[in-house]
Amino acid sequence: MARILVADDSASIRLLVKRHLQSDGHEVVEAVDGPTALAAGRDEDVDLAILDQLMPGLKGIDVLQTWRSEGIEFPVVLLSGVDDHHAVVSSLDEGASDYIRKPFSPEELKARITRLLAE
Amino acid sequence: MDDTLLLWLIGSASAAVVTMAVLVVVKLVHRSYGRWRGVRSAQYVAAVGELISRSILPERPHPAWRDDALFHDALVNYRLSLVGSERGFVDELVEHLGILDVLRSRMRRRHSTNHRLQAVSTFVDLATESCIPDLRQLLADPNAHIAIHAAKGLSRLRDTESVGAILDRAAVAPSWHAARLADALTGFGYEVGPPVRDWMILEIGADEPPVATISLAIRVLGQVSDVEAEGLLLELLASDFREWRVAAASALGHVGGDGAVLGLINALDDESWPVRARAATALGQLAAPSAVDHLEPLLSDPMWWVRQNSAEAIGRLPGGIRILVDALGSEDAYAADAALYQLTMRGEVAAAIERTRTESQTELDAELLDRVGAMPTTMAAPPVAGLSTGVAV
Repeated sequence: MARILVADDSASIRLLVKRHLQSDGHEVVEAVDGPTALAAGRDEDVDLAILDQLMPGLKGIDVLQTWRSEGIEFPVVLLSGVDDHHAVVSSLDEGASDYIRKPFSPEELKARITRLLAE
Repeated sequence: MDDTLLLWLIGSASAAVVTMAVLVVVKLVHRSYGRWRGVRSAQYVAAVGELISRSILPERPHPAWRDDALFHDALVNYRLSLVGSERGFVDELVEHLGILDVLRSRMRRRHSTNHRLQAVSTFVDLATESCIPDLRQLLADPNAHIAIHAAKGLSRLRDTESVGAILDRAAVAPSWHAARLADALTGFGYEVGPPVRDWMILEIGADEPPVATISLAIRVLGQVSDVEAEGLLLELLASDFREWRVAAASALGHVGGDGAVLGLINALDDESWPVRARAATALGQLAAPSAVDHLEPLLSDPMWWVRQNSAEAIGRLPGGIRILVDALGSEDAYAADAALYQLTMRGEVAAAIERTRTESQTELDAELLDRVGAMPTTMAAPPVAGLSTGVAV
């Protein structure tokens, strides 16, 4: 089972995603803002990260960019708003493994994560 | 020091101390209340999250859940973040707890405007199809803010039967509120096209048509890219009302096909400059090559916006850069200024300088830079690195 970082400033989304991932036996590390997510990606032994695009302190895309520039290569799934097409394109350019638009289905997110971890 | 002064000083100091003490107490109470609300809100988020994760409807829910606005907020938070079965479960939970009935009660007019607005906003966020009759009723509410919320709710629920009623409400609302009601219509997406057109056809023929609302409806057709509206928009582009011609020209830039080009070209001669300006922009958006020759004379239009929009449109069309470069040498200083501004903003001047530096200059680059260099220094243009007007590169 994997250790997954869930970074989102919305407590409801963190909780829901955490519960779904825990039900599959994954361990979840939470971050409430960009800088905390950045530090967790560097310091925690993370297998995959789910990053919200709009977080206080640092955007998801900026966290991803910093990790990639530092050679941190674990898979990253970006959560973005419905109309944030620019963020989706940029995140894929920066090396995001996948993205999912809000509002979203936790079941779909879980399926995508399962596929990424299997790869 | 006399006694009166001493008493006054003591009195003032006492009053200051008492005031400070009251302020400190108020601040502490406010902070504690804020913390208490934060804790309660977090508890509700956790509780609702657990219920959704397990898909279990509580047999004996806490009595406060049904009435507490913070609990309702937690439900809204989840409902707007989720789709699929989880969202369906939130709807079941709302129904199970009877929260919509609580909100219906709070939306009644006997409550204060603030309480009603809060209840309506939550009601809209939690509304399902069963709420459509309530929302239609709220659309007629004398409070325009409540009507706007109701329109948003109807839009989210894709209740196209309400489109006419939303536009009727906009027709009697002050302009800002009318615009917000029209904004709500764009939430329907392309589905809103046919009912908006039906409403417009009916109202255009009225003795006293609601001119401003029809303009807003035209804008909506453009925003949702209703390609079926082209014929109607072309009719409006030739109407007597300037507002309709302006709105139709803009909308045709989004939805117009080949048939719209001729109408927009004719609109370039409109007596009203906003119509000319919008028609020029629309022709640029439609990328109609046949429009170039008709746009070129507008570089000398008396109105600045028409000149700028025409120059921008020309720049987008095939062969347009050549025309703008030629216009730099025009005897009409206004035409030259509009062309220079567009060439600069599009990066053509900077690109020509760069190609000259890297010795890959084209004939057009040389001509462009020569003409820019020959322009008077008073010509207004954005600064470009490596070039000052009147100085050779």
